Amino acid sequence: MNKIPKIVVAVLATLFVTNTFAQPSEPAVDPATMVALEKMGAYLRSLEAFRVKIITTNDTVLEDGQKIQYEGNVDILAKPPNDLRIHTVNDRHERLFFFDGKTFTLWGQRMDYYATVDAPDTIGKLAGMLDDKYGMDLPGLDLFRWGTPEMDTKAITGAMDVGSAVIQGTTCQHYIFRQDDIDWQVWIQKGDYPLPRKVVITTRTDDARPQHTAQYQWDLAPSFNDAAFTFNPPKGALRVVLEDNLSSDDANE
Amino acid sequence: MKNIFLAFLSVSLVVFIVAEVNARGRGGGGHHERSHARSSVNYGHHGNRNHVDRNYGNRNHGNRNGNVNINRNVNVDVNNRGYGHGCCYHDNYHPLAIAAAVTATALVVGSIVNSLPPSCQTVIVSGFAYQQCGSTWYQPQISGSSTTYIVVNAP
Repeated sequence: MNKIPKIVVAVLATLFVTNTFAQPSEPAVDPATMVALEKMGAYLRSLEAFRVKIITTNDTVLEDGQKIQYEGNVDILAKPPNDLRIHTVNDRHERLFFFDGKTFTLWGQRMDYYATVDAPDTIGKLAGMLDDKYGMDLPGLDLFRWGTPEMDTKAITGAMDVGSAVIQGTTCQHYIFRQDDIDWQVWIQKGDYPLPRKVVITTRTDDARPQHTAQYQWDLAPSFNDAAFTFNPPKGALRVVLEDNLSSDDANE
Repeated sequence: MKNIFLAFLSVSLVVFIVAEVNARGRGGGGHHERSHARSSVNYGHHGNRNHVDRNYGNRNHGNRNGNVNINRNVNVDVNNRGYGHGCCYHDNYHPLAIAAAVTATALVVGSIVNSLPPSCQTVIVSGFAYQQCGSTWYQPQISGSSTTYIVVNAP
């Protein structure tokens, strides 16, 4: 007699807990939206080579809450898993990234300084190393994380299909997501080539809600030769060190 | 005791000056940046690191340099002074002498600045470029978004 109520209580408690957490204030995760995200990731991973030009904006928030928006351009040529060349230009700096599966070079053309370090053998691992050791985000990082085990879909607490939208003449489906510190939106091309055409990321940890935006122009049949991924220092270029991250600065004391 | 106090004042002043140099070198007319928009949905890091601070000062190169400087200088202070980490007071430590040396070179080894003083000479040592500016040596370092100079001992 005593054992039955225990089971009943356990079941009721489970139902109560499940029910409570199934009705959060957070938006729900729409399964079809998650499928669309996974499809986009899988398609990105299927590309043998691509070139993508990205126009970005990045907000910086000043002490008083005023925002400054910086515009930038990122030009990525990738031949996964281990060849990558990136050119970034904005008002404040210009950089070329070279990666050939063996070494990574960052070249600042205006100063004509370059830094070369040993690198792991894939673009995915390179992104990890740059973050861990140098506190550096690989430009276009999401394009190399979506559709991989490192893509953290569990972090997503809200996912919704907004509807149809046109980005620079391309018909897309518009989705919104919420996860940890950010809200983000992606416009995925409709049809057989589910590519991201636009991304907006809103940072929620600051009341000013700074945003990052990216618009993508894709070339899925880029012409290049393998020399594009290896840096040959031009005459006069000076080799310097790659700035390491704060923790290793401290460790090197 | 008075000497120690003077030394503390001198080193503090240097800390302040270095921090100010960085603040000004960053541009923006004294407007400090408090945050940046996160620029990717995914993280470069593979593990489950705590990323809460990621968009704040610690990851901001401008603030970061300032912090590095302050930390480094404070460390110099703390290590020599023997407090803060419950460690060792160095018997042969002469606070004024060290403070004087620090003031003369203006920048402690490990300080990071955003620009070089005038009249520097590029010197290549073991394949790496250094900038020698008078008696101070700087090692240029680049990141994805900045070029800075770290004060080093003569290579």
